[in-house]
Amino acid sequence: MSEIRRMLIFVILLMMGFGSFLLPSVSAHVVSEKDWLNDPHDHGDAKIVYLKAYQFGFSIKAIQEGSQLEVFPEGSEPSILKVDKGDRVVFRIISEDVTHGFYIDGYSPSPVDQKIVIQPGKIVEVGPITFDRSGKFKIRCSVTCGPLHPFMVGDIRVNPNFGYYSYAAGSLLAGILTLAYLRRGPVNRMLGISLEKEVDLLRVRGIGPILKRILQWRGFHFAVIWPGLLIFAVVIVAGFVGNPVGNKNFSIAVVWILWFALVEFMILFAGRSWCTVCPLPALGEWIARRRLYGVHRIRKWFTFGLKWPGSLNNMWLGSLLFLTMSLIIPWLVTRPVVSGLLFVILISVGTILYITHPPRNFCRSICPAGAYIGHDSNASIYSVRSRDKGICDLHKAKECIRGSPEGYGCPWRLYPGGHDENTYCGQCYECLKSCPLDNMTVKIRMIGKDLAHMAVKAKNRFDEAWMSFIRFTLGIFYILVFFGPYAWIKDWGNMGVNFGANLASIGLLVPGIEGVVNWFRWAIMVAGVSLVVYPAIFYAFSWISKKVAKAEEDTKRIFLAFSYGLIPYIVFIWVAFAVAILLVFWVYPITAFSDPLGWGWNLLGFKFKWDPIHPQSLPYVLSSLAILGMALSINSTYNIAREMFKDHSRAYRATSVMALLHVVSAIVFVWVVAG
Amino acid sequence: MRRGIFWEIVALILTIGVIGVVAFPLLDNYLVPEKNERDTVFIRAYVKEAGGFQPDVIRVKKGEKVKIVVESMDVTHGFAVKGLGIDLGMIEPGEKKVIEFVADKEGVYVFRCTVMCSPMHNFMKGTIVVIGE
Repeated sequence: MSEIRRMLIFVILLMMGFGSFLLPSVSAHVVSEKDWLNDPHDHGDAKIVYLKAYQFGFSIKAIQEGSQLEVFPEGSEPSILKVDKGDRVVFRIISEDVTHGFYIDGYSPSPVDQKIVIQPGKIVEVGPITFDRSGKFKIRCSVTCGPLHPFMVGDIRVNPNFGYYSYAAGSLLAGILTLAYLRRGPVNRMLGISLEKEVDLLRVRGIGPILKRILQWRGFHFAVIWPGLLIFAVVIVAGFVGNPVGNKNFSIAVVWILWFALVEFMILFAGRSWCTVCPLPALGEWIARRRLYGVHRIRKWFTFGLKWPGSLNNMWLGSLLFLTMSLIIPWLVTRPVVSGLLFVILISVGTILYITHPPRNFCRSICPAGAYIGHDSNASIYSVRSRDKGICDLHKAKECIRGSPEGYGCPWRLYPGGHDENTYCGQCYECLKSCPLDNMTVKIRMIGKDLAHMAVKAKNRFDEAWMSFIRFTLGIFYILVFFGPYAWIKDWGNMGVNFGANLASIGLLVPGIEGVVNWFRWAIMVAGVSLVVYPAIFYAFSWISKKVAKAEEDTKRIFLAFSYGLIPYIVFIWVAFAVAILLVFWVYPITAFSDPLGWGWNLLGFKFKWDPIHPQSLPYVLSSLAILGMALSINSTYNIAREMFKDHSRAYRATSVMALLHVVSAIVFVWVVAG
Repeated sequence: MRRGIFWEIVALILTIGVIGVVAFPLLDNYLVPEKNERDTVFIRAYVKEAGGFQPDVIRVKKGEKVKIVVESMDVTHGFAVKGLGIDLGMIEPGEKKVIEFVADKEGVYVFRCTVMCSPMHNFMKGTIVVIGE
């Protein structure tokens, strides 16, 4: 009944030429400017900041010092408050639209103890707050106010910002120190640690044999996929019928906070382990094999005799799909129904393609997550490799390719015995099971071991180079967009739509014309920076480094090879992003397990409330991670150059040029998070 | 071999169980009508774009004691019935507010959200129908 009425209202509005999106944001409740800017109280020497909160940001209307009132004109109200250390500030806050909250990193009490609520139609006074520590602090909304609520932030810069200056100088110093270290010409080493050293995890005393038994157990793959399947089933259900506001819905909280952050850590510490447990293509795999547990060869008749096109045997499709997903990310990570739809599509396509084109061609060339996880995991400390390549070369039966009664031939279409990069190894451990000579193992090594020889082999692998550029630029760009104070970028990406969506409200997921136009601006901005601007800068630096090094190789080759040097950098920048997300939003996935659909249940009896963990130190934690990534990246670049030029002095000169770019990127990053 | 088949079946049952997890709530949500206890009415408040008050029509018998539990599901909402003199004030997301009253006059009463909650806030309302004996 109510459904029909809702549809009717919607249709009538549409017929009248209004989308619901064109309805004015009702302003009857808004405080008159006169009341707001006329503060009846005397605050002594404190500054009075007239702050307005709106979906989804904060901006400053006016600042009053003594009796002097500086009003900013409409449209150019700053969203960054600059104060000097020791200033006392009183905030007079109003809400322009819906109920918001107010919380300052490190300065206001925990939102659990005292929540400051800003209702439309009321003026809330907070303070005076004495800003006695310098640095950058964020104003955050503490009341769920709509889909982009988690990203509703403003900035307070307490000058002099020594933290920012010292970390910016620290990036420069770290770059110089790395170069000073490389001056000595370390061969095959990464920041002092030899890349030759590897630990054969399955022969480590104690855990080695246990791990080996687990990985060689036939049921292992099913046992790790099944929980994931259950979680993604809940994700889809929650996406379609759950609460339309993202941070209260399992599909958003678990996928885009918990899963996303965990994957970044997994990439660093466990390679493509996500692909081990990924349930998306699992149904197709089980159908095509007609087994969930045992080994049963995939018959030819089952596959309709279709062949996987060779032109898709690269990362282009995956990386461009990753970019496409990134373009709609403000919707994807805040609208449950969009996430639900994405996973339905991925599971359907994965299942169908596994049946028509077995084995894991979907994972190799189409899955957007598979593309970036595979690419980044080359900087992982984890790898599945053969113990002795010589044995594999001599052993003619090649069970790791053909399969044996114990295990399938590599579903990722690799030659496990000989491969030496993580890109397309999905870590399904079938080779550990099928190898009769016990020659396959898991090796722990230093970050960036494979990069040098991969880079030198990369003659025309533009796909992987562009994956690097997309990942690298978006890593920094998203920290700026989602954790930055610029509400207009968020609004562009969000198409100006300020409500959530589930199946019941899907009809209202229609953006206005202006929203679509703004989204195109956003899309051009994101795609332009990641596909054109940064690659062009990178190409220019490659060209200079060729000149400086007086190298004979052409610029294209140097450009492609050096792009692999970015991978450790990328991993650490995204780990930094993941740390920020976990420390600020840790509560959402936990409560989502207790209340998956956002229907007010509390199955597990949790009493957690949103309360960021030490958010005032985030700028420094994030900057440190990025600087570490930068140092690793400079060293990788050197290793690549050394392998390519076979000469220390040329490699060193080329590396110095690229190091300049990496240091500048690090300073940009530090500016984004701490400046 | 026999052990293999045993595990195959176990795995298959587990997988079908997962499909049940998807199917059951979807069917439950769309096929089974809203069921409320006799004297307690649970109202979930969503922004109007996502459905508003659910349910938005409540039938009450004259002279009977009624307990209404209003829960805000997404953003801050309010709940007020002008004709009955009820105003629960602000209800923050995840919060539940309870009101007990005896409707002693027949008629139709409109309840509204009292907090600006979304662009369609003004449309967020429902009715309490008090029916005589």
